[in-house]
Amino acid sequence: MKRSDEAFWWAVFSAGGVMAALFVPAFVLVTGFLLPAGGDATMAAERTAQFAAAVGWWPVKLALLGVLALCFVHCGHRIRHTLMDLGLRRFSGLLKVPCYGGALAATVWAALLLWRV
Amino acid sequence: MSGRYHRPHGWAWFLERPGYIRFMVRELTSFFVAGYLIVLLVTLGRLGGGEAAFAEWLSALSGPGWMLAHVVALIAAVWHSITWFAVVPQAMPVYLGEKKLPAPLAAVVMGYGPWLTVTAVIVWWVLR
Amino acid sequence: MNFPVERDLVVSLDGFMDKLEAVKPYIIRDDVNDTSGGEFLQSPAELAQYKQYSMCINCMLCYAACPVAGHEDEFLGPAALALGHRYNKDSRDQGQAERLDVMLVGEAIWGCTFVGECTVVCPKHVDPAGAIQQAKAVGAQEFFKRFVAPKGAGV
Repeated sequence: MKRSDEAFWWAVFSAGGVMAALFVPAFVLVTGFLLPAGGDATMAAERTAQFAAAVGWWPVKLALLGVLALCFVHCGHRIRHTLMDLGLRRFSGLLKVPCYGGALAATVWAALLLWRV
Repeated sequence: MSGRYHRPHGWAWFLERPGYIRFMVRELTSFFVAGYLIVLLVTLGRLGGGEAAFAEWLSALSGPGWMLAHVVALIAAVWHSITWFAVVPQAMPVYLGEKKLPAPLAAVVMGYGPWLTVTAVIVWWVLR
Repeated sequence: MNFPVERDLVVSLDGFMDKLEAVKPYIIRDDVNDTSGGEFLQSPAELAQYKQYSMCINCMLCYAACPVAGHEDEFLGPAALALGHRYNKDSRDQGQAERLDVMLVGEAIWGCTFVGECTVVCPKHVDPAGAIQQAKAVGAQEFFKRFVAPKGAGV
């Protein structure tokens, strides 16, 4: 019998799990709290420039894209398996389409957005 | 399989043991992290859309609804980190000769240490 | 909890026994019966690599505690997978490829979502959950190796 291609998805899921564990709390801190935190228009403009400069350097863009891609697959894989454990086991093959397809679409979207920054 | 009676398993099986509930909470963090990452993409998109679009988005994010959403996202993300580092010593044991690196030490070396470093570097990089 | 019930206090163990056998839980090597060179020696460090996973007493508590074992027939289950991993980690063994051909098929190992309750209930501290993740990692390495070394290259 053929070995499952699940090995590939599990490997990317694991790498993404590490990335999500290391990076995502910091991302939430920055974009959820530090950036939108109060202050007047001048301060907001200052923060905008700061953030644009922080994300705008191309090595940061590339690293960010890599981290995001792995995190997307991590979430897609975990969501797929959670749904399987919750009773959708029959659709394990079908679930790959939205879960991994969604992760791929989000990665392409992220690449386009980062290109424009 | 033989046997006359197979115990039925409904979708709510995870309510049967506290450990199952903890497992399900851990898995559900991925839904919140995924949701946050989509919002992050919107933020990046607005940044590419110019200063005015970004300022408008930032003022929207400072509203109570988005703040609450980000509090939930932060809790989910931190819980993912904690639960991930907790199992790293099981999945990737480090052997020093005959001895395994003790789990708490391994979690600090391979998890919490890098986590704090990465978080500090990101915050410094953005605020510098 | 997850075994088919025959009658009061009697469950069917056929499925469990089949799974235990499926992972080939014995040393595999071409010269396994060749005693001319004496024993197959092993250092304490090599023993430490698998000793924990060899402590299983087949109490089957891990199968009772594992929700995936209850949901998925293809899943080999904690004890069998940990036992397979135990032999894969044995420095005297050369049967990893054969075992992986069984473990990496379908949901045999991939059904595991690391609920971790098998490790919690194990009376011998075998940590099947950890063993399974390590075995998955070996499977992932083998998957990527195919692209580096062509099939039959003897890796």
